[in-house]
Amino acid sequence: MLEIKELSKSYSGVRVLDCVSLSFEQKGIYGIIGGRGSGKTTLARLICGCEDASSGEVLLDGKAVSRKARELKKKVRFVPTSLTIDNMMTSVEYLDFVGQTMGVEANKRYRQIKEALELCGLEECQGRPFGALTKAQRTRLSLAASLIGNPDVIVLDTPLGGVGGAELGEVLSMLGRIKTVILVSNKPTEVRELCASVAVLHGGKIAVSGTVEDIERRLNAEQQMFITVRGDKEKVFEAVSAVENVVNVTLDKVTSNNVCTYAVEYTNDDNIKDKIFASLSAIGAPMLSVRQVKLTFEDVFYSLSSNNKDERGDGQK
Amino acid sequence: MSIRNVFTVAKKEFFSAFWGLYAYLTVGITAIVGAIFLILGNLAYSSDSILSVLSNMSLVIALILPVTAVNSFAGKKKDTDALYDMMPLSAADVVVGKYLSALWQTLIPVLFMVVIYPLAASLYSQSFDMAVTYSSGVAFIFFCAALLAVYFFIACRAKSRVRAYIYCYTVAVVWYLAGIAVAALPLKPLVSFICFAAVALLLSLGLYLLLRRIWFAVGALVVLEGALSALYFLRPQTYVRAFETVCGKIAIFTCFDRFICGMFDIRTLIFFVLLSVTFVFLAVRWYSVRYNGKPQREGLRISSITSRAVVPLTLVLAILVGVAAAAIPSSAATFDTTQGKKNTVSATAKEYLSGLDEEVTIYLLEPTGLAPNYEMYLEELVSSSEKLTLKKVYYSNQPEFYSDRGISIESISANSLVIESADSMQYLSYMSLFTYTNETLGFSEISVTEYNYYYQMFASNSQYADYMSAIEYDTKMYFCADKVICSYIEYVTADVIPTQYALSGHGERGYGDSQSPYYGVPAFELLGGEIPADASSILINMPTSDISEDEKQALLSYLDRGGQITFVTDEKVFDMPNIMAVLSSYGMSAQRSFVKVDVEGEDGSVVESAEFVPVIETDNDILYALEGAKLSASVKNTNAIIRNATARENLLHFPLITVSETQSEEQTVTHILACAAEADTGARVVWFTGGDSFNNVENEAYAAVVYSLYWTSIQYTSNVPEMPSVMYQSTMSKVTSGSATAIGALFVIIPLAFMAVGGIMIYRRRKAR
Repeated sequence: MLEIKELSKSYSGVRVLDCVSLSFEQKGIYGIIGGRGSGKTTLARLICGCEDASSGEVLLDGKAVSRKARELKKKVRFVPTSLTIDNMMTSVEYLDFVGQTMGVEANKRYRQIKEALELCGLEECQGRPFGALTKAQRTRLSLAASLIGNPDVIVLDTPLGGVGGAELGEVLSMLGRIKTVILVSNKPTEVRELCASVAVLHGGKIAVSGTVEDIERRLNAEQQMFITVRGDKEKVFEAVSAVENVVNVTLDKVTSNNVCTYAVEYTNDDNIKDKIFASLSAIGAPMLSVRQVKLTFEDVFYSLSSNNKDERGDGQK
Repeated sequence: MSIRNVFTVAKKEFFSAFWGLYAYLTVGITAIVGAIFLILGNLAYSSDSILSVLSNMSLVIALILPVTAVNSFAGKKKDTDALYDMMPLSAADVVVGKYLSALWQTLIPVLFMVVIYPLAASLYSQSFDMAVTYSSGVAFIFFCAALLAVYFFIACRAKSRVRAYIYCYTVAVVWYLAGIAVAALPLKPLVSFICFAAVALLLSLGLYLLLRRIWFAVGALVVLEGALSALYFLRPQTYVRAFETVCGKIAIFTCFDRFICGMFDIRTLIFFVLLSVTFVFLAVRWYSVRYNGKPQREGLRISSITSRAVVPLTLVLAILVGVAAAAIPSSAATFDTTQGKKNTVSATAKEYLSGLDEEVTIYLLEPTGLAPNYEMYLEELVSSSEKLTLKKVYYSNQPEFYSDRGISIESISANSLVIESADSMQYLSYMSLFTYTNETLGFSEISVTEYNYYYQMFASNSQYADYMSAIEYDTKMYFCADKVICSYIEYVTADVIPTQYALSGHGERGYGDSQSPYYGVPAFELLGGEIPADASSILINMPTSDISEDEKQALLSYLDRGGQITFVTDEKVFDMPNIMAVLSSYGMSAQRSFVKVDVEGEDGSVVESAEFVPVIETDNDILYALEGAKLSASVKNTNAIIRNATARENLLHFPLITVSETQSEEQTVTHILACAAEADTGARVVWFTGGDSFNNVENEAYAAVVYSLYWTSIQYTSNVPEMPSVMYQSTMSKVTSGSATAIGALFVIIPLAFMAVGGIMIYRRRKAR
C-alpha cells in the first residue's frame, strides 16, 4: 500500500504542494489530475523519490520513500512526460542500462527486457536508436523501462499526451490488474476512462478525491435549475422559496412583463421539480420551462484549471 | 555510493560519449599532438626519455580536458541527467560514474603515450631512462585526474556550455601562468601581503557565490584579512616571497615538473589525489541539490546546519591534509628516479660534508622556483652537515647583500650560489654546476664557458656546419653540483686558498688576454724568490727568456714543499738552462734528436711543415677525463721529452701527449711531447712542449687538455674527493633509421584511423534513425 502523508514541497519559499495526503491500495489505476502549475509533476516525483519533500512523507508498505531509499526507488518507478536519453542509444541498450541500475541479474534482465518490449509493442524497435523512435514509441519505451526490475508501483507523469494514447491505455489497463499504477494527467477524459479513483490537485492541494462518480455526486449535491414562469414575480419568489429543500431563488432574466426566468438552488432532491410545479400551480403561475444544471467531473476540472490560470495571472481561459 | 552503480553509470557515459564526435576528436587530437611531440623529440632526434612529450602534453591536456568535462555535464547533458534521478542511484553514483567515464576517455591517449611511446622511443636511444619515464607517466595520470576533477566541478556548476568553457579555460590559463609569472615577479613583502589580501577577498566572494550567505562570506573575509594584517604588522618578514612560494606549491603544472625532472614526489601525488577527491566531492554535493528542486541561483543551500557546513569543512580538511602532506620531509617523500641519481647528493659528498668543522652558508640567489629539484637537492645537501645553512636571497628584499659583497645584480644568473664561510666568499654561477661532453667533437666535461666558446666558434663559421650539428645534438649535459659545490666549500673553508698563479717577467704568453685559455689566472713575479703562500699550482707559459738562479731555487724549493708547476715551452727551451735544470731535477730533459720546427723559405713562407697529429694519453690522473675523446689536434714547433726515472727516488712519469715516428718499416718510435712527473713529496711537474699549439685556443684538443689540467691542479691540493657527474638531461642525436619515420607515421595514423572509424560508426547510427 502506498500512502502519502501531509506531503509539502517548497521551492525558494514558494509552496508548490501543501499538505497533500492520499493513499493507494495495491493494484489498480489511480489518477492524479491537475492543471498547469497545480503541482502534479512535483507530487509524482516525490512519490517516486526523485526529490525529497519539504515535509510529510511517502510510505510504501510503511517504509518511507526518498531519494536516499534506493531499494524502495526500485519498487516505485517514475515514467516522465518525455524521456530524454542519448539519441544514439538503442531501446535494448537503454533497457539494459535500467536493468543494471536496478540490480537485475544478467539472465533475468534479458528476459525482463524481452517481456517489457513485447508488452509495450516495441519488439520491432529494439535495435533502433532512441532518436529514430516516434513520440509514442518513446513513451512506450519509457513505460517498458519502468517494468524492468518488477516494481510494485508505476507513476506515469502525463504520458498519454502524445500519439498512441489509446494503445498505451490498453497496456495500462492490463498493468493495472497486476500493479499499482498512478496516472498523473491533465486530461480528465483519459482519467475517467482508465482510473478507478482520482484526486484533483489544485494550487498544490487536493481539491477533491474519490471515484469519478463519487466526485460528480458530491459536486452535484447542491444543484441548480432554471425555471421560466408566467406570473407575479413576488408571488413566484414566495412560492418557490417556500418549497422544501430550495436554498435560494434569484431572478435570472425577464423575458416579457409577466414571464421571467428564475435560478433556483436546491439541495439534493429527486422530486424537486414536482414540488416546485405543485407550489406554482397553487398560486396559478404556470411553469413554462425547466432546465436542470448538472456538473460533470470535466466541468469541475476545467473550472479549477481556469481559476488556477487566473490566479497565476495568465489571463488565458 | 555503490561501486556497481558507479561502474554502470561510468560504462553508460563512456559508450554514450563515443556516440558523439567530441570523444573521438578529443582522444584522436590528444594522441596526434602527443605523436607529433614524440616524433620531434624522440623519433627524429633521440633523447633519453619522453619527458619533453609529457611536459608539452601537460599544457595540451589542460586545453583538451575542458571539452571532455563540459560534455559530461554542462548544457544539454543536464537534461539527460534527469534520467538518473528516476533510477535508484545516489548523486555520488552519478557524479563519480561520470568522472570515471571522463577519466577513461582521457586515459585512452594518455596510456598510449605513457606505455607505448617510451617503448618506441627507447629503440632509438642508447641510454633511455625508463624509470623516470614511467614514474613521470604515473604522475601524469594523477595530474590529468586532478585537472579533470577541477574542470568537472566547474562544468557541473556552470549554467551553460559556453560559460563552462570560459570558466575552465580561465582557470587553466591562470593556473598555468601562476607558476611561471609569479615566480618571476620580484614581490616585496607589502606586495605579497596585498596579493594575499586580494586572494582572501576572492575566496570570500567565492564562498558567497557558493553558499549565498552574506554574513558567512563577510565573516570569513574579516577573519582572513585580520589574520593577514596582523601577521604583516607583527612579522612582515613572513611575507618575503611567501605569495610566490604558495603559488608555486599549488601550481599544478609546476608540481608536475618535479616528476619531469626525475623526482618522484609522494607529496605531489597526494596533492593531485586531494584535488581530485575534493573537487569530485564538491561536484557530488552540488549535483545532489541540483535536482532536488533548488534552482541553481540558490547555491548549496542545504537545510540542516550540518549539511551547510560540509562544503567549508571539506575545504578546510583538504587544506589541512595538503599542508600536512607538504610537511612530510623530502627524504621520506621523494625518490630520485634518474639513472645517475642526479637529484641525490652522493654518498661521497655527504661523507665529505659531514666532516666540515667550519660554519658555511650557501646563499641561493634569486631562486625562480622553476627548478624545484635543484632546491630540494640543495636542501638535502645542507642537511648533510650541521655546519651548513641554506638561505635564499632576493635582490628586491636584500639589495645590501649584493652591495656588501660587491656582486652586481646584472651580472648574476638566477639560482646561482654564494658560498660563504667567515671572511671568505665565492660566487658560483648556476651554469657552473654543469659540464658538457661531446664524444663526437672530443671534449669531455668542459665548463659552460668553454661550451659557449665552441658553440660561438662553430656558429660563426659555415665551414663548421657539421660540428654545429654535432654540438647541438650530440652534447651530453652533466650535473656536477656535488663536485663543484664541495670544491667551493673546501675553497672558502681552507686556511690557505688554493690558487693557480702564472709566472711573469720573462716574456710569458698573455695571461690576461681573454683569448688565452688561462684567462683569469693571476700573474705574479718571483721578486725576491717569494711564491704566494696560497699557490696550489704555478704556470710558466712560453717564457722567451730564462729564469734567474734565485728563481730556479725558489721554484725547486716550492716543489720540495709539494708544489705543482706546469711548464709550457717551445723549442727555445734549449736556451733556458735554469728552466731545464728544474725539469731535469724531476727526470725530464729535452730530446735534441727530435726537434720539429717549420722550415721557412727566404720569403718567410713555410716550405716544410713540422705539423703532425699527436695522441693524447688518458691513462693518468690528469687527462683521464678525456678518455675516449676523439680529439683532433695538430702540433708544431716542438721537441720531445726524455724521461729519467732515476733523477730522484720514487719518481713517476706519465706521458700526456705522444707522437709516433716511423723510422723504418719495422720500427716505430714513440716520442713524448708532454709529460707529468710526480714525486713522493707530492710535487708534480707537468711539461708541455709545442707551446704555440698549446696556446692556440682554437685547437680544441689542447683546450680540453688545459681544462683538465686546470681542474686537476685545483683538486690536487684540495681535500675534496672525486665525485661523479651525472647525466643531467637528454642527449639529442639525429635518428637516421627509416623505421623511426614509419613508427612516427603509425602513431599519427592510428588516432586518425580511430577518428575515421568513429565518424563512420556515428554516421551509420544516424543513418539508422
